[in-house]
Amino acid sequence: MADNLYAVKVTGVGYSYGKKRVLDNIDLKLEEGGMFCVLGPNGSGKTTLFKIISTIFALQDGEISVGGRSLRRFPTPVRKKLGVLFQNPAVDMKLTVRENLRHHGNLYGIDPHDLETRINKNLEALGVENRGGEMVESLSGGLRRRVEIAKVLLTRPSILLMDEPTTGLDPAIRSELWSIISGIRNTRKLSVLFTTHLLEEAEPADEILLLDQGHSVASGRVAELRSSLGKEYVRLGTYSPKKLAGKIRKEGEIEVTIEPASVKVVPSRGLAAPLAIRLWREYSHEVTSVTLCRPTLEDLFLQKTGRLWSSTPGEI
Amino acid sequence: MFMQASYSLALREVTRFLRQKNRVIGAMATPVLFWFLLGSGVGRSLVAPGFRERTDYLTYFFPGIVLLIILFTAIFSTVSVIEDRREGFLQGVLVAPDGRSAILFGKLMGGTMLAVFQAIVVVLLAPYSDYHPDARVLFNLFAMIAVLAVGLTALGFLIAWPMDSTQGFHALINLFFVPLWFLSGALFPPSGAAGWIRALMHFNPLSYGHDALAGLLATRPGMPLPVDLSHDFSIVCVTTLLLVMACTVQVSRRS
Repeated sequence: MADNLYAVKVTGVGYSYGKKRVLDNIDLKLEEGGMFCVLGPNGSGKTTLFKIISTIFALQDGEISVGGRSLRRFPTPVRKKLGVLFQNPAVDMKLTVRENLRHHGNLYGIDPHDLETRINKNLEALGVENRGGEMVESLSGGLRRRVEIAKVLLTRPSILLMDEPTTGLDPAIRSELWSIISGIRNTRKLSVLFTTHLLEEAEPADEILLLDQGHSVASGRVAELRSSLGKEYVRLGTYSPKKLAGKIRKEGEIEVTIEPASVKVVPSRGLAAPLAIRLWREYSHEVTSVTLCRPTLEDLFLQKTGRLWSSTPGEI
Repeated sequence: MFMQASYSLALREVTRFLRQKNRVIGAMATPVLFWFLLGSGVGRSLVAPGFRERTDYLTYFFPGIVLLIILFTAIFSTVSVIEDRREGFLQGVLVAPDGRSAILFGKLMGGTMLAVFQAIVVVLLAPYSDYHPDARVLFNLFAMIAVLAVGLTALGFLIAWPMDSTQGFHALINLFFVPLWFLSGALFPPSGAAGWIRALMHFNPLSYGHDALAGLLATRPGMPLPVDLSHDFSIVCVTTLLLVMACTVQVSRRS
């Protein structure tokens, strides 16, 4: 596919802080109108990649094109295409909502008359039209995020870049934010590229790139990646995983993995559901719970890195 | 687009300043109080060679206080660079099409506007120090103050840009800027100072700013402007230009 058919195309990108290599040979392709997630635990290098694509960091190795234009050669036209939502809201707390939006429009050279019309429309679209005169510092975290989105969309970007957009928000606000983003994506035909360390947030994406310690460990469509992991399995909760695993192994033709406080059982043939019922009946005195599971992105990470998602180091 | 962006950033600086009442009061009242107390306290007790005809310290100290106001307002306005980075606002500017140059010129314009405004308000107190500037002197004072403000804001920006701690910035100010002001002739004239102090004052560009302010304020209506004004002005202008160029180079570098 030609470069200009991709909203964002990243090829062989690497980055070093001094002698420390934090990103190595990263590739990704965001299709026009698509939604792409860069998923990784803390310290995987996703924020560094985000800062390179958003032009805050210089592109050291590799190439990035946005809408077919080289980010290295044409940073200014590329910036005009991007709407960038940072982990921490890039709004001025000492200004009102309307002043923040006006300021942002001025940064992008929007005609002042047109700007006022756009501000009104965006505030209305994000449901904050009655908050225009309030200081941003007086708003809740969720409302600040809405203001931030209204601000970013003022310039009518074709690509929305978001770095961990739900950081610091409670679950209800997170869900509200994702539904707002989904609505915007559909109405404005936006291509969306976002980073997250929350596995559940990656699920709705068309494609993901899984990062670990600066390296790409997997990429592709979520469903395909999941199915590549194999079949459904059964997770048995227990107080003595080793003992229970030993007993189940004796049955043969079953793959058994010991986990903290549970045992993972994968049927070598047949379906997992009948196996779950049988194991529950046979070991009911040792089993505290039975869960029928589909392979998750966490399993993918475990398979690719040999480590649990939760045991990863701090953010780069 | 660039001018619209820079102007918007400058306007933001002024709006933020005016919304922080304590900052307005502190910025205006501290130097004036300093001038009044020190000037009145020392009074006529110091008669050193090189002092002007009137050796009242309240009078001698006045140009130094105008310089202090420019210095502090310009420098402190650039603390916002560090705050903007910490609070996340700066990154929103950096991803804008002309963000990097706009943030520099916006900060320079904002800092200059604030410093000039405050310095001019204090200059209006000049008659209390027995200075009586006419319109021609006021015009030249305005120009000198503006150039000094641009230069000092650029100096503050140059130091603040790579920093991530406001505490560190304040420590540097105490270490670097206060001595710079001490050695400008604001507190004492070079003629009575030790040789090495005189040498330092000679190489301090702020000395020429102070000299220009003092010379202009001392110009009575109808008298010609000080002969060394253009010399002082040239040195301050060249220094300012070099500082702005250094800022441009620094801000264009990406990590």
